[in-house]
Amino acid sequence: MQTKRKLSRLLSVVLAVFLVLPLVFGCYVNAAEKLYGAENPYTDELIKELMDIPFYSVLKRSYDKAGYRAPSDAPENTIVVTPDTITGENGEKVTLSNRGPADDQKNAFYWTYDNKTVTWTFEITEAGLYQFALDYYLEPGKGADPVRKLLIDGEKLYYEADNHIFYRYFADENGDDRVLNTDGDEMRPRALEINKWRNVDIVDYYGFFSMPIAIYFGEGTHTVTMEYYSGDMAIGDLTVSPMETLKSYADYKAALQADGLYKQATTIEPITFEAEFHTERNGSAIRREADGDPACSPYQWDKKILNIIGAGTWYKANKAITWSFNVKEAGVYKIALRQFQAYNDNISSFRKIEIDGEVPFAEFAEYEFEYSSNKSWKNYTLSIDDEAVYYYFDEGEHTITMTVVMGDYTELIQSIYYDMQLMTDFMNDIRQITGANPDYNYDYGFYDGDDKRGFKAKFQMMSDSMAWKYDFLVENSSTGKIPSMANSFKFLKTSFDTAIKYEYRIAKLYDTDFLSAQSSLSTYYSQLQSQNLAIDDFTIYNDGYKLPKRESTFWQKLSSSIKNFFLSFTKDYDSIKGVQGAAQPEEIVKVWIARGIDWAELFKELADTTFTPESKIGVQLSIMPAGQLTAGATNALMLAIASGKNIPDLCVSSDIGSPAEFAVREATYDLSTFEDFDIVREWFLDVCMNPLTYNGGVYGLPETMDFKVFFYRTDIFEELGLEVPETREDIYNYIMPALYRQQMTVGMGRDELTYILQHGGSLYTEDLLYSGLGTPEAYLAMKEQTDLFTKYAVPVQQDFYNRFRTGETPCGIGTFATYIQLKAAAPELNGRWSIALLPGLEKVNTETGETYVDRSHSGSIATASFVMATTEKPNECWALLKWWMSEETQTEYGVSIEGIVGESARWNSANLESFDKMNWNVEDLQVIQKTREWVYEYPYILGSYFTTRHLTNAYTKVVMNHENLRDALESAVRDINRELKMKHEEYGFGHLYETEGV
Amino acid sequence: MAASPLAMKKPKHGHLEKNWVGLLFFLPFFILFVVFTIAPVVVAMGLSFTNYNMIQTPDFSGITNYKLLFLDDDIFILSLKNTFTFAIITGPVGYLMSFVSAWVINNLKFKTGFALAFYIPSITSGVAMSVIWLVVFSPDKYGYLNNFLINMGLISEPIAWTQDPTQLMTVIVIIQIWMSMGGGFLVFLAGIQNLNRELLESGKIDGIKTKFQELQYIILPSMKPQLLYGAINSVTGALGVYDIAVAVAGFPSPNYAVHTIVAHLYDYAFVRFQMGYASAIAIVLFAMTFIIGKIIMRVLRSE
Repeated sequence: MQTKRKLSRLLSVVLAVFLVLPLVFGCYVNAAEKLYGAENPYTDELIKELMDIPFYSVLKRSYDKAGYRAPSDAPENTIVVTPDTITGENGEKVTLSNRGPADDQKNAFYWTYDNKTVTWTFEITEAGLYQFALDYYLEPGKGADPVRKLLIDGEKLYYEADNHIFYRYFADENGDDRVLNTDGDEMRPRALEINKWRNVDIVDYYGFFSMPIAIYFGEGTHTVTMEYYSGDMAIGDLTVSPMETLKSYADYKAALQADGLYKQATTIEPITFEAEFHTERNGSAIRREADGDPACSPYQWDKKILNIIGAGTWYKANKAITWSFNVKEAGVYKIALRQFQAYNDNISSFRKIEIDGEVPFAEFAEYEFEYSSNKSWKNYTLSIDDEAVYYYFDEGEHTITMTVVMGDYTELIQSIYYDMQLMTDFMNDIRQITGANPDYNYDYGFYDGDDKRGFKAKFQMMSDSMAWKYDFLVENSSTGKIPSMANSFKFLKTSFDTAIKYEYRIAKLYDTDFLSAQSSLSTYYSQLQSQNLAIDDFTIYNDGYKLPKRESTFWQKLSSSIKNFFLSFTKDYDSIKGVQGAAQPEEIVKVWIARGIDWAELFKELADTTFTPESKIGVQLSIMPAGQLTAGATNALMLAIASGKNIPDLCVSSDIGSPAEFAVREATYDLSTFEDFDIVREWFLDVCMNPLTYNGGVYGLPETMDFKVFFYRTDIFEELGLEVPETREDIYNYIMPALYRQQMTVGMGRDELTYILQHGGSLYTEDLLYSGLGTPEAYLAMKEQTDLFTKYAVPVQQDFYNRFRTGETPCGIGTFATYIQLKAAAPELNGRWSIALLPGLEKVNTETGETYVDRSHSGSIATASFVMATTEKPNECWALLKWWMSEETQTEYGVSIEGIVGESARWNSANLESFDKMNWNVEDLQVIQKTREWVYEYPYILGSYFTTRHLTNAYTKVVMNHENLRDALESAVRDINRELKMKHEEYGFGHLYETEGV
Repeated sequence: MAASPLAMKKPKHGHLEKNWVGLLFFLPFFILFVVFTIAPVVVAMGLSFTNYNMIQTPDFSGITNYKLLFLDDDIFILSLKNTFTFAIITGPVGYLMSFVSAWVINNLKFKTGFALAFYIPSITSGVAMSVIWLVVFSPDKYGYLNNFLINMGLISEPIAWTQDPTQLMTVIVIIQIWMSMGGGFLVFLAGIQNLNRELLESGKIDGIKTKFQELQYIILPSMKPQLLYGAINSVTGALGVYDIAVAVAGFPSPNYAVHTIVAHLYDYAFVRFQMGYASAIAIVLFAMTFIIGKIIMRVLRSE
């Protein structure tokens, strides 16, 4: 026993040492040190091979190499090209009209989609680098920010030229006031658009280059052309001027001293202003937020006060906020702001700082806000090389503008982009050798012929690139610690090193490590472009004033948390309160919404600010998880109806089957009884109303729409010489053999309804009483559908998104969800894929004799909203529903939610006009619009769930159990008919069957 | 005369006064039990004689539901077959496995660690576990099992585990057994650990040499109550399989391959809005479980 005790004691000592040692070492090891000393492998020549048209930064470097400079400031070098000289697509002059707000009308060109291009022509007398500025005006309420492509002398010179955005500017409705609700919490103000003529410099959309884009022009006539991408706008003068060169802060200071202005004002009192009270911003999504830190100003421990701006919503390139303030006494001042930056692990955020609309000196063009390693707010003075910046303000009004730019990370982000391109290229090459299912044990001979395919060189490049990135992040880490992203790059480097050393491991790496490397890279590509910053307030002060630290202590935070914990027992967080002191709405409508918090809060905000004031109807919103509002499960709604208690008045964002299902049991309200229903009906696609119709009444309104299109990889199709198929026969005879030869697959899945519709069959007979699956057309359709899996070996299940990215499945049929997924989560595929109309069935029009492709399909509505029958306020509910689905509300909602959550939250409104106004690529939108003529929806039929169920069963029997299709369909028809009849009888429609004598 | 009131046998009218403290302790559980367990059963019995779509008032229809259920409902018979297959395989097997694991673990060091590892699957939500199993059984060729089999060269095309009716039953049985290993496990472990040491020692003296003999002659007979509990638990569990089947196979499963009685009940209750019929199914299930339970009690008591 003695030995046992001694042993266990020894064991615990050893364990303790082993646990403590790593911690001790960890502190040392984590000190940032450059590890590799590698160079950035992406030279300009290499970049030109990877990208046909490189980033602007590359172009600028070539200018610098050639020694191009800005021309002199001679007056003839600033050229103003007026709208009357603009030429359109065909070279003729465009028609002008008076545009602008009522008090500032200008003769301008209103540019809509009818004019694809617009060209300005001008003469350059002195060769050099010139930049551009454009006057533009946006009509209020027209949706997303317009985007234009820029061509110089007819050519696209740089990658970012595809996306020049002309922003809308917004301000908060109540300016510098706080509007409180009856609880004392601050209510978020509405964003008011400021419509006026603006003069903006043409800048880089990605924020890579913070100064305006400068192009080299030789002497002579030149043109600048812009192409319409999306959004209408009015344009005025184009100003071509010499490129601005910035002086350094030292020069600025010297100039001030020379002028004798470099002295402090006599007043000691600082000028302070809150950051949330800003003058304007160029994105409606950037908004005031509430931060619970006790040292924030203003702060109330028990009330929600919107005391900061930025944080989660101010991160995208080129998003800017402007503040104004008044200086009483002229002099030099220091500028301080209380800021918080702890968003990307050990990665800084950059801002372009402009004072009075201009960047004062070079150091403010890309100002670094370092990561706060103790994750706290800092009252921070703008400094250069640790010395505070003194700026001269004369008496009067001044403005400060901060714009998001990528700053020092530009090189890094661009190199990740090159990595992704390089990877996609060599992944394609590897796949051509190994096929989509590489055999890990086969020697493919990647490095044969002395690496004539260049794989080793490419892997070496990737390895060097990762090493360079690691070193870059480590060197530039402002906190001295290694950012976690750097470690990931280090890890990725090992994969490539393994590939270089061990040729036989490449097949396995292709299937595993390289795949995840692609995902990681695209994640970092997006992550680095998110440069968040939160600001509480500004202090403009001089040396007489000591800037307080304003960091909350641990005890302050602890006491605030404890107090708030106790408050949570009494404070009501659920229902919306009205504005304090305002007249309470006369009626309140209870709404349940089945969406996430951001969506529901936005709905609340819009309702409170645009619906309630006019209609005097208040909205009480409850957020429900998805699935709680559908028919067909014990969920909150079903239980409420069954018990008769707590039933809402209006349900929003439920699924499309529910309104009619509930209508059968007389639980939803017939909306067609309202007078203006026919007008409202016009807002939507006609067939979208079908599933909501039952027994002559319409029991809901569609809310969001879906679409079905054909996705394809343009690069792979080009490589293989394939064309977009028009019919499914094309796919079977032409696309499939070509792809299968490469061991690729086609992304087609189960979609019985589409096949049945296209073959001319129907799920039901004309009278909608019996199953229509017994017809020869249905048989042919099901045969084609099941052949897909039995004869053509399409995989029964495949993850289209991932396979599309790797190129294993370069084409397939997808929906809106697939579209958004590819757009938002696969940035490396940008420009490598496109959509086309659904391939259909070739048919001959019996009347005219001409052939056409029948592309009928179904599945066009995603969600719907409905009013409960038990409501005591049907008219109020209808008013709210009408407001919600109206074009203005849907457009505002869509633009806002996309601004807040990002591109993945594209709002696919069922209101057709509003859908079209979203930020779609014009060509994609045209395809989507064309699909609408082919959509068909069935009305709600009692017992219809049985049809889908037995279609699946028939499919299973044939594809899995290899049974006979005819038998499967016959038993399906028998069961469906029985169920249809039973359900009709149950709800009093049995008489419809009597005439058949059944 | 100073004996505890609870220990004495007294005539009825004094019973309540003497035992009122005990009854008071019993009352909360009793109320909850009646309200949430007994009452719904009674209501279900009542509803099974009506047509009720949960939204409008029920209307009386006599024994139509039962008639349809027993005479006209093919799917119900199919679900009976599925459920019994389940019950017969997973019930005894799961029961046996939890007992064997309890017995084995009892003889190891790190008892708690292993016990935890075995017990965790059964306390975690069935749906959460199913999601993980879905990755293993994914019909995609990249699913773990398919990938493994293809790499081994055993199959050349991925097997559609969750869509092929013939494979579905196997898949669900495996998952269910894995989940039911921890069912009566803790109870068995407790029972084995609380065994009277003297019995084991006297057994050793009497000539028991192997662990198996120990199991057969000493452990099993003294664990009757635990065995009974475990048996009833696994039977009721097996008859009520639903959420795993739905999470893996979808609702309803292809060709009703793993359509259990409870799934059938859900189908009628919530998809077809026929709560009266569903109540009839529930009552039938209740009767079956009750009878099987009674049989088990009889068997395990007389042994």
